[in-house]
Order: sequence, then structure tokens, then C-alpha cells
Amino acid sequence: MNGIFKLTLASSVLALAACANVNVNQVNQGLTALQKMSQAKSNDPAVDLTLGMDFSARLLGAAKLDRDLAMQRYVNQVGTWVALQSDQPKLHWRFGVLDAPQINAFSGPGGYIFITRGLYQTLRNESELACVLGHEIAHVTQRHHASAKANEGLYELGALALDAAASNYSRNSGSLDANQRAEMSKNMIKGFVGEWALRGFDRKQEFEADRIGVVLCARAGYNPFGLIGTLQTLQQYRREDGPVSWMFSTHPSLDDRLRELDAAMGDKLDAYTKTSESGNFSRFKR
Amino acid sequence: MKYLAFALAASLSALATADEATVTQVTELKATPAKDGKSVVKIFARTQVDTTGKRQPGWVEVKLKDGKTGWLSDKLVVVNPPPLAKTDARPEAKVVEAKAAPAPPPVAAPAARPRKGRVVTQVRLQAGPARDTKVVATLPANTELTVIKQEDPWVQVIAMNQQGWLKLPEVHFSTGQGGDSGVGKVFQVMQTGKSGSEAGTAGKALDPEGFKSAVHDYKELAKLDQVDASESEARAFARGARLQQRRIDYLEAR
Repeated sequence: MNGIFKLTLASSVLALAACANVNVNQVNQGLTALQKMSQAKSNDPAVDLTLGMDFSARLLGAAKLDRDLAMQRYVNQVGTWVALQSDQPKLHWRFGVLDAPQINAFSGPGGYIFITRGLYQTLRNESELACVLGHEIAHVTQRHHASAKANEGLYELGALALDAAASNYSRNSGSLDANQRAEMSKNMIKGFVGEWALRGFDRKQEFEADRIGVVLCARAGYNPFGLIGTLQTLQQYRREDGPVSWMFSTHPSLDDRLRELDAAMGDKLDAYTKTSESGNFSRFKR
Repeated sequence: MKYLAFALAASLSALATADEATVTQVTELKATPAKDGKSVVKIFARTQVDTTGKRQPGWVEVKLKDGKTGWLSDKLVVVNPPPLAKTDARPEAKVVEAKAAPAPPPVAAPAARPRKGRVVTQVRLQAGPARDTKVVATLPANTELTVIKQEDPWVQVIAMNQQGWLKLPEVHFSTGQGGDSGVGKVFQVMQTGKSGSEAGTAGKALDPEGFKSAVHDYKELAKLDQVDASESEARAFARGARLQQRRIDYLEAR
């Protein structure tokens, strides 16, 4: 982190502190935490988890979980199985289907993955579902939330605000459980965590998530061409179409994604198109 | 080229409920299952139709995408294969038999998808689904095509009046920069129509504005822990589905 940026961050923390009506001690704590943060890159799993929780709670404030628990469970089974093929098989992965007709998918640090019911309805089989989840899983394992150029500083700032809030609370009230911590952080970081969902990742990160997604999907025994099929389905929407406008605004064009994926895949995954599927996928198509 | 336009129009109208099928040659749709039955309309080769499930010896009832129903000789109607690979060897498209048992339901009903696409770079149209087959034609960028069937990782298409095979990722369904064929719009109307009538509560719109102004919902967040799957549960699921774990290296960026 360069000096000017640090200064920007510091003033942001001050502004944040002012908004939240906190005292000078808290600001000092914040600045101390900022120093720590600037020395070591924030790749602390606990920070990831807290930021992931906060992002997810915010997203769930915008759209609730679909009420079909059997569907939620099924998506978790497929998703966790795909995630077990990743570089972070031991992470506590959580998957959710959002009750929204729009077509989109989201990931948060710490292993939070969401797809909309609109996207589920657009998919044709379990392989396509597995590949889509694989793409989101890759954003998490590659730490795209922390490193995205579009989010520079915001991730650290969110972590910092949380840290300041939590340590202050701990000092005054002793132990701090997850709910209290979340409650504390709510006001502190609202508007900061989750910028990646609005700004999107870098193009290169999206292409990387596609490349990793198809491999995770194939490792799990699914047809990796499910991701190609999904992108082709989405090509039938125009950028300005309501159901896809948010997703399209945060992703490279589908033509480019297909081209990149085609070039990277070559013939390497041709042998893995045969798959067995659980047969549960169509149960949840409405 | 006329039949291509017809096939496209035909394939756009509705979500398939019965078997999708292809008519193999020029014929007439009959009002009754008889050679001398009244002609409803002339049918071009490769027209996409839906079977209704009704059959008579030598005849099968079909519904055109414009809603017209009638009878065709069962020798001229081929059921489209499922869109993606299954565990079992993929059955080739088979002629509908008069007394055939009902086909097993596919794993998932395919989303309706326009069969018209294009290539975005110059590609080789192969005679068969393999690189070592004869090259039928070289298609320049932006050549339009009609998809006949998909056998991952290959797709059988008609392009420049030639039939042949392309790799799946070479086929694009976007409308391109040159002009809007309206494909996207029609598709959206179909999708919206479906979710509106069948999804019950539509759910509130999830858009950037909604996300920006969202109030964090930690109660909803806690529900995720009621539906998550442990590692052992996920492994049991995969065993039950007979999913074969494979060792595959990550792909390099091109």
C-alpha cells in the first residue's frame, strides 16, 4: 500500500468513525490496525470469514433464500462436492439459492456462494450447475475479492473497520460472539464490503475463474462443457435485458469468455464429457 | 435457405413439453393419419416439431411450432437426442416406431434455445465429430448456422448449405454486432412467461440498487448453516450419483 493510499484509508476510517459516533480511542485503534494491515496482506481466514458473512448478510438483505430447503440442500451437496476438488477442500463452504428471478451468481470470501433461482431455471442439468458453482468457487480460492483492482483498498478497509469495531467491543464487554460481532460491524462497514459485487472482478480474473471452474467440474465427475452450454444459453439475452443486466455489467462479454475458454481448453477436456448425475436436478426446476 | 428460416421460426415459439423431433425430408402435414388425408401444410426438411404422444400404425401426430397439429409418416420423423452426454452410450437419433415404448425421461428438460447461431472466428467444418475427419468447408467469421444436434464436445450444424461438425465452444448464440435478429428478445419473452406463470411468488428484483440499499439480514444468513453439506455428506452424495472423481491439471491461460 502506498503512502497516499494509506492516507486516504486513514481519513476514510476517521470519517467512518465520525459517522458511527465513536470516540478517539476507537480511531486510534483503527489506525493501529491500519498499520498492521499495511504491513501484512490481509489473508487471515478469520478476516475472510467475517467479510464473507457481512457481504452475504447484505446480499440476503436484498434477496431472501429460496424457501425450498430440499433444493438448498441439493445445491449444497453438489457445490461442496465440487469445492472438495479445489485447493481449499477444508473450507466451510456454504451455498444458497436466492429467491430472485434475475440471472446472477455471487461469491464472498470465506466460502460463501450464491446463485439466483432465475439462474437455476436457466440451467439444463447438474453439470451446468456444477460448472457455475465451480466458477464461483474459483473466485474464492483465488482470493479475487481481496485482489481485484476494482476493489483495491476496500477489502482492507472493511477488514479494518470490523477489526476496530470488534476489538473495541471486546474491551468493553469481554467476549464477543459471532452475532454481536456481526451486529457491531453492521453499521461500521455498511456500504464498504461487497463492492466487488457492484464493480465486478478484473476480466483476467473472470477468465481464470472460468478455466478453474471447468476443471473443478470435470474433476468432480461432471461434464465440463456444461459451462460452455451455460454461457451459450446466456448469449441469447441482450446486455440490456432486465434479468441479466447486473450480471452482464460485471462480466466480460460472453463472446470473449467463450473464446478464452475455447483457447484454454483446446482438446484437453474432450475425454470428460460422459457424466452420471444424481437425477435430482430436474426436481427443482419450476 | 427457405427451410432454414422456417426451422428457425419454428424453433422459437414455445418451451418444449413433449419430445422435440426433426422432419427428415420434404413432406406434407396431414389432417388425418392417412396418405390421402387432407394436407394441412407443406413441411420442409429439418423442420423442428414436437411429438404429441399420439400414434397410429405408421403415423405420428406432431405439433408445429406455430401451433398447427397433424400427422406425419413415422419414417420421416426423428426424435432429437438429449442435448448433453449421459453415463450410458448416447443413443443415436432413432426413427419413431409406431409401437415404441415411451422414451425414458431425460435428466433435465432442455431449456428452449434458438437453434440458429454463428461462428465468430474462421473455423473448419468437419465431416464427423472428430478432428481427423474430412474438412467439409472452412467457415469465415460471422457465418450463420443452424444447430441440428449437440454431442459434447461437438455440435452438428448446417452452415453455408453444408452439414458438418464444429466444436461446441466455436458456436456462439449471440446476435453479433452486425444486427439484431431478435433472438434474444424472443427468448426473454419465453423465459419471463414461464417464470411468471409457474414460479408463484416472483421474488423481489435483485439489482444493484437493491443491493446498495439492503439492510444486512443476519437471521437469513444463519439459515445457510441449516442447509450446508459436510464433507462426508458431499462424498456420500457423489457416491450415490456414481460421480467419478478424476485427476485433471488446471488449464493454462492461452
